[in-house]
Amino acid sequence: MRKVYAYAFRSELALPDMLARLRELGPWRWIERDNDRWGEYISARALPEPNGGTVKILAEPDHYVVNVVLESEQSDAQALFESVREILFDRVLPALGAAGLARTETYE
Amino acid sequence: MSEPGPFPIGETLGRGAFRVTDHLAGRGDAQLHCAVSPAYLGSRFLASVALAPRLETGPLRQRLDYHYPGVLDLAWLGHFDVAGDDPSRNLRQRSYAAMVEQLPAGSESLRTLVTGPLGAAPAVDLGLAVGRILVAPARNGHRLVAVRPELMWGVARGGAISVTALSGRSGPFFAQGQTAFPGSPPLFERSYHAPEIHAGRESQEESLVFTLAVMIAEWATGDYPFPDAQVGGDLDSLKRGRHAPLEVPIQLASVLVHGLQPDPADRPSLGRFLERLALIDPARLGG
Repeated sequence: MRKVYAYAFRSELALPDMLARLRELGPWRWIERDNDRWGEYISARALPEPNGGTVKILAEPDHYVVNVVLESEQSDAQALFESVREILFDRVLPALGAAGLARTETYE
Repeated sequence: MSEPGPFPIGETLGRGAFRVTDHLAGRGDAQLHCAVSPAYLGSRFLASVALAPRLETGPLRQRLDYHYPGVLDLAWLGHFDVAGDDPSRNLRQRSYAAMVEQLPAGSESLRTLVTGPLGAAPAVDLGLAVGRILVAPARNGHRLVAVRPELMWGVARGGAISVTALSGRSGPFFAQGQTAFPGSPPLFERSYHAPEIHAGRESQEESLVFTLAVMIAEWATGDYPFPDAQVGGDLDSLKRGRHAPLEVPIQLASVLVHGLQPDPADRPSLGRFLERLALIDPARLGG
């Protein structure tokens, strides 16, 4: 089972401040990354191996995007994915002071 | 007695049991009106009017005659009264049908009561009240997916708006109608229906979650969350769940975006959605 989604949001925090705040918040372990395509971004593994579960926060000119890619062959994949959603929406985004939440194109 | 206005103003139903009085919405094939009854002085009724010459009133009445707290009671259903010997008038009377529901005393349409942004906390309260009304019918297979602000009634007391009753029957009723005027404007410009309803699939309990989420977002911000979607036009953004940025506190936005998922399988159940709304700390929602 695979699920991919992305949300745009605004935040007054800069990416390094987000990283510091999310590292303190837990439960995911966030790291800084960058590449030619997306520039600097932060990411975390949201599901344990052998599942695939990556949450990335990328900076756009006037907003941020949180991009989520989840993959699991487990029978309880739906519940696993739901737990990621709850952490993202109930803990991560509030901790970032996210505003203006809107579904957007995924980064793939 | 005042002169009859344009059809169906002044026309009667149920052998004079009801008389259509005021126009509320719609032109042509689907309309909403107020009605009164000489047998129930002081009571007001909602009359949904559709072009439906072949309406089978018996089976439809049986299907729609249910009773739940907070849901308008069905008072009558059928074609307009035929009177006199004008054949063209009588043909029209037999071609149009009406569904009459009793309105709660002293209440006004929510579309009248809510004219701007309510703010997050009152919008959540209103959404919870509506959602709790929808639970019992949904459990019995009556998913009132046609519910929308124009079909809800409430009262405003001390700055707070409470819901007194709602109707969800207009969808099944208007579905029996036919279109004589293809270019006529839709009954309502905004859609609160979930994408699966627009796709012609059967409704689910989660369809109600989508509808509730749209209404709560609109009540909170004063803005319909799919501003580029119009009934009779392009509903692409609604069908894809591409709502405008939700300018509400993140605690509420988190619940709403879950409810606005385009795939019903990705939405929470109605019970879970209401539970999550109720769990939001009002202090986080501001005044």
